[in-house]
Amino acid sequence: MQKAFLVDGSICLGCNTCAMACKNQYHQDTGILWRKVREVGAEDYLIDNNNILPTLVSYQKAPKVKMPMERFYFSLACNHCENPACVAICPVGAHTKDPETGICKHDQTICIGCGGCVKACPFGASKFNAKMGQAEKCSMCWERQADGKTTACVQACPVGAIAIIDLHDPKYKEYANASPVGIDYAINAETHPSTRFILPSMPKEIYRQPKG
Amino acid sequence: MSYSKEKVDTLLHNGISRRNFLKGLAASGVLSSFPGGLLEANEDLNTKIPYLGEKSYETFRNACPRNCYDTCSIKTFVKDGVMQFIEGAQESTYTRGGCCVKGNSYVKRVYSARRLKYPMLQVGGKGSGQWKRISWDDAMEIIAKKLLEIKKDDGTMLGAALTKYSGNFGITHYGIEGMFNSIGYTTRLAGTPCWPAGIDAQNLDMGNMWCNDPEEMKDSKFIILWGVNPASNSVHSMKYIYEAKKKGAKVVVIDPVFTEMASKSTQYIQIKTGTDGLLALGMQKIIIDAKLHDQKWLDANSKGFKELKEYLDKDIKLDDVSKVTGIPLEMIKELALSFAKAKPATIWMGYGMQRHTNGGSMIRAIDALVAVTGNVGKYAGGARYGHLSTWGFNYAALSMPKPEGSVGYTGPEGAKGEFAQVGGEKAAYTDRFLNINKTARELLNSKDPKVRLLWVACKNPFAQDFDRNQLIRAFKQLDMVVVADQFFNETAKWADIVLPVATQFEENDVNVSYWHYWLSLNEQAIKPIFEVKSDVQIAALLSKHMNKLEKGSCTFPQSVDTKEMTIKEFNPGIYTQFGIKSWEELKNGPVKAKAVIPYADGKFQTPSGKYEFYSEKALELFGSALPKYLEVRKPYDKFRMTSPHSRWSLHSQFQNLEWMEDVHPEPSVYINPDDAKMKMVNEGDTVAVFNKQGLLRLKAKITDNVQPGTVLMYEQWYNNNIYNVNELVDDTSSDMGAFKTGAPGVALHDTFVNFRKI
Amino acid sequence: MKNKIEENALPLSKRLQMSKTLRDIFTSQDSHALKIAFDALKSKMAISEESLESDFNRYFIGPLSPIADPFSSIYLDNLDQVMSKSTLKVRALYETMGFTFPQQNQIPDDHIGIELDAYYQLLYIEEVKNIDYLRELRHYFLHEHLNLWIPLFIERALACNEEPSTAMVYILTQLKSFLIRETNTQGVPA
Repeated sequence: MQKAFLVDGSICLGCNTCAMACKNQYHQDTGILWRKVREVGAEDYLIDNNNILPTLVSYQKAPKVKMPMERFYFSLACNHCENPACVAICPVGAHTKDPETGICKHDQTICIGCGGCVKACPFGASKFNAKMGQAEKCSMCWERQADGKTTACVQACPVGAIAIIDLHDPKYKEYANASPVGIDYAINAETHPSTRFILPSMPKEIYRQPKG
Repeated sequence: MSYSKEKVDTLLHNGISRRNFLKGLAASGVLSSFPGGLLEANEDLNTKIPYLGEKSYETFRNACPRNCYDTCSIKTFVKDGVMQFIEGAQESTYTRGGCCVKGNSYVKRVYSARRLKYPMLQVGGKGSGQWKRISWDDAMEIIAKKLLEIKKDDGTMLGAALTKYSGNFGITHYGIEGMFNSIGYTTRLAGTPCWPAGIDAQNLDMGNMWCNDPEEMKDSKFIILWGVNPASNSVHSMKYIYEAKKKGAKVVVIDPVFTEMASKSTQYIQIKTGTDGLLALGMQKIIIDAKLHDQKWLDANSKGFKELKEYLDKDIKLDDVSKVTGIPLEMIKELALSFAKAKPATIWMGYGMQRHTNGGSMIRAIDALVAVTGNVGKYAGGARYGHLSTWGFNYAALSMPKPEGSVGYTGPEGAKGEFAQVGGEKAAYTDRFLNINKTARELLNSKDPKVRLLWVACKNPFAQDFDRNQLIRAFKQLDMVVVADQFFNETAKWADIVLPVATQFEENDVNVSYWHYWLSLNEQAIKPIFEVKSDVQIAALLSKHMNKLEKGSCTFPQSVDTKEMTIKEFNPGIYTQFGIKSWEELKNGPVKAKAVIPYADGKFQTPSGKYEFYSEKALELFGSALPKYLEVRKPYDKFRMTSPHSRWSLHSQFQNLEWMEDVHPEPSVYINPDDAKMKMVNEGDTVAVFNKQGLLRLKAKITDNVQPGTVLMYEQWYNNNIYNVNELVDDTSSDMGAFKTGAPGVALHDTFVNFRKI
Repeated sequence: MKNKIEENALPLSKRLQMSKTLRDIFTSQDSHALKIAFDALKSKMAISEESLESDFNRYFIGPLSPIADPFSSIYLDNLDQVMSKSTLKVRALYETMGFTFPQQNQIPDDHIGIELDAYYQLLYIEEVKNIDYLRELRHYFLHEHLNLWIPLFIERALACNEEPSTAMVYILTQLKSFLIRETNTQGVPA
């Protein structure tokens, strides 16, 4: 099994309910968001302010379509990669990849705060909490999932723009082999991020007032 | 080291060693030896281990009482008496398990260190910043004395004024008005800054404001979202719109702004602001000319269709419609005809559209378009604006008798607000009503008797009302200003006494929506933190002190339990409507009212009993029987400013929380690229936006989401930021509102400004 | 240096007295109680009850954002929030010490006044009743909790440049000295 977020940019409202639902559940400290709603085509797409260093594998290209300001979004958290860089680099085993679900978990009771994962993650998913001197990130609400619930973000999204899928399930075949499309984002990343995207598009007919 | 960190940590986290330690504690004699203080010896040592094992939560039913379409049903998770997180109730198909971005910040709001914690008195005078902590008893005694002094001096209580609006729409919060009812005839800031012109319009047309269930929209074949932006401000409605779209319905957005909703539509039509009424009239003309109107429905259910048609034939020129609205005629025709052919079709009208000097007339014109096509009274159809059909509570907290011998106002009577209108026989006296939308001016000009005490509850006038400089003058000249709130804001700054108010998690209440049809119980989930009290408990305490000073001077119960107050609000009508036997069933989750299609029985509460295109009442009150086109306010400065609601806040609530700052830190002004170029403003520049009312400085964002000639700023209250868009708004009235809500609305979106780079 | 050692050898009754006075200052709810507790610090400062309280409220109470919020969660959890992780940690400590807190969930357990109350009571059973059972927990409380945030609290309060209050500076200095003395007297290496 490889659990993955399926992010539907065609219906995402950019309302940030998912990001706040994550805070509501885990009470992340001020300035830290495990889930971030990123505007398609916006500048901050290219950098992650929460990272100590610019990511080593940068987002390669902004989306090709120029989208209007503050209207189209992808909600992103940890990509729960097939070959996670955080797991590889963590010297104490605080990052693990669950062999059953494929979820990349982070255990803060073990984390020594070396910051390796924060630098290694191509997507800025691991955040460094300076106050605690430790890393932290989305662990796909594995405790909630083990309890039979879905993740906080999926449950809270008012339009179902985030879903949990299993990339190994034939039902989701159409997504399984596709590179993470949509934002050309880290297409060649060796970590093989699991997040999949449905692309946004502009309304079929748009009429704007003529100039002057 | 005189202690071992590891050892103590183990003690705290390991169940067995902790249990053993606690056993030894009892044996050591410690418990009988503590000298005593705020902490007391725990004589009943609990050796259970609350720190081990899986999460176990106590859950409670709550509801979001904010002024919002969605009025979410909430489930709250509490551990050891501390609120941990919330979820949307799964039982409500509308809330469907999730609150919005604001609702998800509630834990932060409840436990914000910024909350008002104690009653305080501003000893150095209003605005001095010198505060003294006082007990609740002292606070209430000071206020009670002032009220009795007013009564003694004036012979009436009219010198005491209440301004309360939409900070909390929980039913027991009408106990605030109840508190004022219970002391005599008083002065009320009446009306609503929100939606009054549209309420009047719908009442003139249909005798009520009554919308179809939003969940029906999933089966609509054609949806026009007219000046409404649910993608931002009613996110739970979006799933129905998406479902309809998926099933092939056309979703058209008509809006001056390319909104979040527009970006998710099938067709977006940008219209010139304030011309929507004319577009609707033009569409009707096209539809009637093409004989696509529903003659059968009109014959049976309407009054004045003939007069409407004559007006359309004579006065509405399609070329003019195209020119004035800025929309090509072919596009208007195509829109009109496809709307008329789709059945059922529906139009949802936003509240922003009626915040114009011609707002009510625009809603009437669009209502008429829905009626002409026979979509009124149909499943998945309707001219949607809002409804109050599930608000039939007892208003027990509101309905307080006047103290014996009370003397009041003898002038013309006004209405009492849109939600709870007190019935009963006509009294010799009434309260005095001042226009809430001209608060500053009305307070300054009040006389015979002058307003001397103002009580502010569920409202932040300095953020939401208009003409700020006058407002400061008005507050300063009052003898006493009492502000009951959850946070310190600019209104509290100009108060004499601030009173800390409970959140919905710290009290019991019951909630319904003005949009969907669900009923939610709100249970007290946690102890009120610090010294906060619910509004009705404050009223009870005031009553206790009034009666202590002068027996019989206040009829409000002197002690209340918010749960008992809540239970008193239920009645057989509510039980029947929602199909429950007792309020206690709501502990299992929210319930929905039995489905009724508004006006499906053809009964309208208009004078004629029919849909009135031609309304004598409208002629009498507003000078036009038909929904005639009325030109919008003329510009008085270079650019139109529009100030819609932000998705990060509900008026002045939520944006002040740190969690919200993490997703949305600061205000911006949105400027069209053409205008920005002309003014040499670049993205991120700080600009001054100014007009005759005031000046704001903020960052510019350049986008063609707004049309040339218009700037957009969201209406919000930030923590540690002086930004307040209402400083640029004057208090010019909209056309309607006085009929049903006591005062006309405000033409907020008819504000004009200029801007320059700083 | 000699002077400092003498100060460190403060008689126990004074040490107890100081912890009680500081507790009383931070748990006071009106100007009169605050003034009595403040006078017990023997500052020789002439200040009216009203100005003392107005300053105190500006620093620690509100209704405007106080200069320094008196809760450990603000400093340890980096939040503008009460009732968070460190509050609950303090709660667990109190429970282990055998305290119950009637105002639990109403006043955050980590309010400075409550913490000083705990500390005073713990000292009391050691010094007056000669019971050592909780000594280790008291030390832990001092070093692993009080010392982690109260210095930050004092620092934040003292950093106030806008109309600094001499009375508040005096209280904070006394609190600081008390904490230093407690830390040093107990001989824990820095």
